[in-house]
Amino acid sequence: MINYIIRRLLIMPITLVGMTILIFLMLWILGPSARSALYIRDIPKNEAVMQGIITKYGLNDPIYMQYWHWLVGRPDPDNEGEVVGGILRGEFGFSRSFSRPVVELLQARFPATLELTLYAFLPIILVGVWLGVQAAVRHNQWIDQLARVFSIVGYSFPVFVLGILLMMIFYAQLRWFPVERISDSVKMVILSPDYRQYTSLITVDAILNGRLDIWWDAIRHLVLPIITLSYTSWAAFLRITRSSMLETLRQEYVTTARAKGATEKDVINKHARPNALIPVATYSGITVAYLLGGVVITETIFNYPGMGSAAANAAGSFDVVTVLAFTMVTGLILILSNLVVDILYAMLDPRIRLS
Amino acid sequence: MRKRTLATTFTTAIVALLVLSACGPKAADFSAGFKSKDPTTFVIQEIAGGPDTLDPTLAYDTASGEILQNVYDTLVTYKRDVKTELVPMLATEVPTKENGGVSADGLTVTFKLRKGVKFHSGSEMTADDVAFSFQRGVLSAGSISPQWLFIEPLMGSTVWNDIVDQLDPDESKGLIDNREALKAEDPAALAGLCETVKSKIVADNAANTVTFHLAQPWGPFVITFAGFWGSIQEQDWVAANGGWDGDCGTWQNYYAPTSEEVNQKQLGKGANGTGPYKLKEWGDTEVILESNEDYWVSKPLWEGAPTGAPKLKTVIIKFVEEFSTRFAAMLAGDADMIQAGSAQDWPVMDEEVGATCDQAGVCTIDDAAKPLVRYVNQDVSNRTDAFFNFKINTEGGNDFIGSGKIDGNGVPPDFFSDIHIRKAFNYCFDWDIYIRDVAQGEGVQANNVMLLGELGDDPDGDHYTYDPAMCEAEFKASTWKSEDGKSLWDTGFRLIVGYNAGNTSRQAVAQIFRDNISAVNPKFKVESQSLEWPNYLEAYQTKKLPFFIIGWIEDIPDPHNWTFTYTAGAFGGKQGLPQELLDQFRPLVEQGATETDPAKRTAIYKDFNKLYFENAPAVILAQTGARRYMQRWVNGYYTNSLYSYNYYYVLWKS
Repeated sequence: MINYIIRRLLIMPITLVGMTILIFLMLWILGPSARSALYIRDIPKNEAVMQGIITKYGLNDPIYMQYWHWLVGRPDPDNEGEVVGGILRGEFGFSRSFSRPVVELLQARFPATLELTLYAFLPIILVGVWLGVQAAVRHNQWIDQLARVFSIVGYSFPVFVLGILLMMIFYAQLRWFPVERISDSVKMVILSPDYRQYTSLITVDAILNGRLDIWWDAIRHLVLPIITLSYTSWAAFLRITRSSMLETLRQEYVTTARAKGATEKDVINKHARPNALIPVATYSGITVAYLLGGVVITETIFNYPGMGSAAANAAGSFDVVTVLAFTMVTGLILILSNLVVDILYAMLDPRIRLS
Repeated sequence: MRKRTLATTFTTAIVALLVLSACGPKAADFSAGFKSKDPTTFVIQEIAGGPDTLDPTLAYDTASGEILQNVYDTLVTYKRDVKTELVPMLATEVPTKENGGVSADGLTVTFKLRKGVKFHSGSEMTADDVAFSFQRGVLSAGSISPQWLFIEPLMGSTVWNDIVDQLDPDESKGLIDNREALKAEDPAALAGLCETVKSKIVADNAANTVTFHLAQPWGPFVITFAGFWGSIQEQDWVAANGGWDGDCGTWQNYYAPTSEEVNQKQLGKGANGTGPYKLKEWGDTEVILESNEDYWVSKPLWEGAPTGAPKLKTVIIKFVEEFSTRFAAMLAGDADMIQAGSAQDWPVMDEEVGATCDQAGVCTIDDAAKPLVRYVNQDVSNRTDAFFNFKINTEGGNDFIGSGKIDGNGVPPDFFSDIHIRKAFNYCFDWDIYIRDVAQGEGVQANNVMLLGELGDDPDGDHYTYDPAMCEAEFKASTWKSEDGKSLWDTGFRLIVGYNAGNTSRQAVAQIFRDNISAVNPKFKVESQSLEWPNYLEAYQTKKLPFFIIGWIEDIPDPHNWTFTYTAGAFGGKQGLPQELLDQFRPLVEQGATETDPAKRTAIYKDFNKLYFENAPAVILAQTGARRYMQRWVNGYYTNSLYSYNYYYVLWKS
């Protein structure tokens, strides 16, 4: 098991480097003068500005050198002997579309996305699995039919359409659940010096500060994004759990357990469900990827200040520096989540690690 | 720049459907006097973007300007919504020849300053602070800053109107925007130039005045101080927060900064003005302003203007990408005002409009129960026009001009050097369609280069109208011929008009040319092509576009801001206007700026307009009206198109 984990860990940086090289190659399609436009907001009066940018950022350098500079930093043209940038030095560069260092942007946005995906992920697993098990156990009964309808609608509903519908009904018309991450009045409290931000996760910090009103406000803001983000995944988990459970319930050892007089509850919970969850564990890794992709649309619709909406904004402004940084972080999360899933899978099914 | 995707269009359709179907009852607060949930906090949701920088010497974009004009004060400001009348702000009077503030020869302008005005830091504003603000601006300049507006009159008209032109008049040293090259210049020459600037902007602390010594008389000089580039900063605060400290031995180290450089320090990401609002936070999703409770204004700047601390204690400017999200916030009462993405969003919002106001502020109630108010046909200070490229760059190939010759499949690089072609394009443009498509019919065709109603605008002068017959005649009169001697009319041509993706205004222009020119002769193919921003900018910078469609927002309400830009300045330079044409324009541009008598200036600009019409170097399009939508509980609103969006000091809520 330990060897297996070490092997997986060694592959991780290679995957990450491969990903960044791919992104750089895509950038390379643009010529230096087009790429210099990525560093400015508007059309300058003078071509010298563009040339200055090309020189300053080394856009005429060979691609491998540019890539290297991005990794370890480049000589500072304004201060001899100094080095600027370099993601390995913790410097992701300056975000043109947000007018601030990318690190600051990551620090501000990552906790919001983490909070949203954490709150979304658990219901996906719990609700999806529970519904799937119920549908399989009550095969072809009304709950199974209802679950089918639920999953078909979930599959066929585009995320942005669902999000806008929810927003217009439950926010604009009924005003039950607001958008954004927190109310403006609560924001003023959070910004005040009396309020301590321990984790930047508002729901956690609110409890640590003893402010249940803030916790409740944050929860209300999370409802619509979570439903939007989760619905498709609920449907997917439901279907996978249902078919896996149906298949398991038809296995001979289940029949044997029943023949031995085990209660139906024990048959389902102790014998069938653990084995039926193996494909579910696999899919949970894919779900993390889906959620990270889904936050782009969900956060943009609900103006939720997370990494997804920032990445969408940066991409729309051709803010390559920011997009690269977000890609790096997202890639890292995906690789880590895949590692966890692989280990989990290996624990559930010994045949995996032995192979 | 807003990207209008299929998803966005679909989104708008859904929103419209939901609004039209009115899928829920209106909450009581909308039908009970339109009262805001929080009368002291104002929330505006704008299209994503946010400020570029909060350094007033460098900022030159509307989003930055909006923050600056609320946090900083200027020496003079516009009288409410009147663009042509100034009132004193940090000055005690507007300098004129009558009150002695402007010398008889127009070369000396003195501002008398208010006493007792305090910066947000608590320090009192001095004449030294005021002089330093402008000295620093002139010396930090660079081509992507508004400082040319001061350099031109103070230092004399030059190529770029940048301070380094004084050391490099023929641009042979390449100093423009090049700090490293400037630092290598002779230290004595650098210090000398700084002293020259200081001798032109002189503080007198005893008299509490600041005097400007101009290189030439300058008609629009005083009005230039009303823009946010005229913000007054505290010298000590600037020096303590990463900016120049006023030492003539070091100014070159601070020349032509980028927003990236200044925003790493408080200099660019912080603010310390004397204005009605203090900067509380500039986050990645919003800017929060809080009221300056010690604001110095004790007498109204104009009749009916507010005094004392602002009524709105907090202003939150949010940057929200999606129109549907902004609109939902408006319906929920969480936003007091929102920006529409484009005129295509107006009909959706109109469904919720209960009152309509015009530019004069005259309002009518359309539906007592509906929550929004719209301000229609609002004055604007910008216009989009189409400029012909006289020398299209073909280096490394140019797909925009096809074969590069008259053979029915391209155009030669100097295609637009033929005046008949330029006139034909002018006659083939349909202004009514443009106004309909871009501004839902709210707009007026422009007469001249300067804005409608501006000094020099001549409604009775010549201007082009949509006339397919004249368009045909001009094309037939073209001297272009194919290699085998056939006329352009018989041979045809093909060219591509590029516009940046998402810009619906530019797209409309390109498509109107495409449709109308091919209608005149099917052999004439003008294709419109959407380009992503980097590709568009590259094509524009390298002069590969056969003609470019671009907008100009005026800095000051003066024709010089237009005539210079459209000839010797930013756009004229990109067009590659022939020297003989420039030689005709330049004297008129310079005379118009240096003349201070409005009647004489009008006559000069009349000549300029005539010359511009006769040579048709561009297609002057239309002034499209703007709209503003807000909640009905917002009071005190008026439009001044020279403001950078909103001036919150004048607003309050029911």
